[in-house]
This record gives sequence, C-alpha cells and structure tokens, in this order.
Amino acid sequence: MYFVAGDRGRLNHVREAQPSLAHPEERFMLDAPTPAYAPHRSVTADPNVNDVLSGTAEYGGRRRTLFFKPLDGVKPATARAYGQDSLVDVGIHEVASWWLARELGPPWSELVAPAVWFDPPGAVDIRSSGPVIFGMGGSAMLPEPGVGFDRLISDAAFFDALIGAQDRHDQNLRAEAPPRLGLIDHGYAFARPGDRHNSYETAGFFLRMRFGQRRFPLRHGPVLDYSGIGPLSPVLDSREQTAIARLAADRGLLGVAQLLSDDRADALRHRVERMARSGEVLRAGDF
Amino acid sequence: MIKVSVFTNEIRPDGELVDRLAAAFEVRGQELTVTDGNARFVQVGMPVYSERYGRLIDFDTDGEEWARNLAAAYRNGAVSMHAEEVLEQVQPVSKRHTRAPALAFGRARQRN
Repeated sequence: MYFVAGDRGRLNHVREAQPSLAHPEERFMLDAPTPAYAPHRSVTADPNVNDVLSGTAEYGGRRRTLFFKPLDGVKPATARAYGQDSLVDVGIHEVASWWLARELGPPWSELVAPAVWFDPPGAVDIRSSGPVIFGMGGSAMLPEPGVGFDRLISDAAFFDALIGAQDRHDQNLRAEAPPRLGLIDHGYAFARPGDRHNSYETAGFFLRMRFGQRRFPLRHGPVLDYSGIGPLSPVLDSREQTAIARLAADRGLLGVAQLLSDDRADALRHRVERMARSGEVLRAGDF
Repeated sequence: MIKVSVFTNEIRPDGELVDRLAAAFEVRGQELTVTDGNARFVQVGMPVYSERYGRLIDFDTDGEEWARNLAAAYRNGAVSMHAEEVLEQVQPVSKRHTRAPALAFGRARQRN
C-alpha cells in the first residue's frame, strides 16, 4: 500500500542507493545485525500507539542505540494536518534531511541524525517499514541558559530554514555538555508555502533564537530562558553562502531532489533562491 | 482522570540508552496538576490530533482529551509518554472537596 503518486519511486530510489552509501554511520546502520527493536515505553490510554522502537546494534566493535520508526506509528490525520499526505514521504523526509546534511558537510553533517531506510525481513506491508535513525548523544533538552551553544544554534537554524522544518521545538533535539547538539525528527519537513507550522510556543526554536528571541514563555508553565546565548544574526555567514550557492547551482539539489515530491523540491529551490537574494535565513514557518 | 508520565532518555558516551522520568501530571477535566519532575516537560500548548474533535487540539480545548492523545505528538525517540485513564468513583455531593484552581502547576517538584 502506497499513499500518493510517486512515493513508491522515491522510496525505491533510497533503497537502490543504500548499498553504495559510504558514510560510517550509514554503513553501521546498514551492516550491523538488526537489533531487537522494542517499543520504547510509549503507550497511551487510547488505542493510539506512539511506537518509536529502539534497539542496541553492535558491529565492528561499536555499540550504538538506533531508533526505528515504522510508518504505522504515524497518525495519518496528524500528518495530513501538516500537509503530509504520504506516510512513506514522512519516513523518507528523515532520510532526505540526513542526505542533505551529509552532502553539505560540516557543520550540518555533524548536527543532523544520520538516517537510513529499513524494511524488516519478511515485511509485507509498507507500514512495517520506516527510517532507522542513529542515536545522537545527549538528552532532549537544551540546557538553560544555553552558554556555549551559540554557533551550534546558528547552524541548526540555517538547516531548519533550508529544509522547511515544521516541527522543530525545544524537545526535537539532543544536547549535551560540552556543547554538542543533535537534530532529530524530520518527518514533518520539506514544507511548501502555506503548509502548517507547529503552533507550539517553542516551534521554530533555533530560527527564533537566530532572530533574537531568548525567552520562551510556556503556556501555564515556566519561561525557558536562554539569555546565556550571545547575539546571533539572520545574515548568512560564508559557510552558509557557500551551501546556498552549491544548492542553487544544482537542479538535483545535491541528490536530494529525487527523494522529494516535485512540489517539495520546488519549495526547497525557492527557499534557496530567496535566501540567496536576501542574504539572510528565512523566519520560522516561512516556507 | 488521565495520569501522564513523561520520560526522556539520554544516550551515554558508551552508547547506552538510559530513561528517566522527566515529569508526571494528572488531568481531571481542565484541572492539571504536576505531581513530579520538571514542569517544562508539561507543554500544554503542544497540539495533538484528536479523533473526537477531528482536528488538532491543545489543553485549552479539552484537557483530558489532549492528555489522552499527547503521546502521539512525540515521535522523536527522545521523549516518550505513558498515559493512563483512571476511573474515579463519584463521591456524594456533601463530601465533595473544594476544587483546586484550574491549573495547579505550583506543586511541581523540580528534579533535573
């Protein structure tokens, strides 16, 4: 069962490319024996199941946590609210985000969680398949007041502007000290103009910091205070200008266009053009 | 009444995944009480999809329905939830206690 025209082709492109991928984290995820993935504690009072599975893979003397996100854990109605009509594409977006980061190189390839596609042995329903995400170190909370995270936040903001992130909030990340940041959860991304941006108070977290916001009052809750982060600017730095120039010069978007529907690839090209013209990152939710 | 436990996990340098309780709270109607952990993990503005409403809702729309569906809003592998519906006995009217203010976040015990 596939969901919209073209998603089968996009998925087959990922599958066909994977044997020749060379990044060490991709190879680890693809070559390690499949770990015993198990539900990671998320159950609800309702029939809803938030089934991100986790497992520990061992290969080549390394031991890492991997997260498997089968498509049947995506709620179609929620996905549709974000303009994501294909559950397959929601899964592919995790991989496409990583491919984009990988092709752009550091600092983004060090920020974004590597992801590959996984079809469990014997799976007959596409909803049993999904992306496997490399476990980034740290926890899902950027420590307040954020001292030392300035550069990482700025880099993350650029990436979010590029991919049209719809759901980056203060917990869709991993952070640890000494300052290290990981970007996770990119299913709701590659948005098109007019698509929904999460309405939550910290949605667009990094981009809003880049435009100067440091305090995030949570409704009926505490104020998240990141006043330890120094001044940031929306103006593109030299690395970002180079990244934008590379993307603008390549109709195939460094190999990522084949993983996106035509309208989402066009939206990415348009964001690249707009950032090239203005010399600044786009604001959160400006797809 | 819905009881929700919020867990976050940390991946240690040796690759080990370690869970910890980040917050726990109870929702009774539109009354929310944080019973454990850090209130920053109780994010009542987080939109969740409700089949009953047929759209995204937040706490202010319907507290219990929001809490019931909250786990589905987190699918990132770093934050997870356990929600439990607790059936409560209806007490005789004469023995009812005065209700607490609508949002009683003050009881949160910080535990980072």
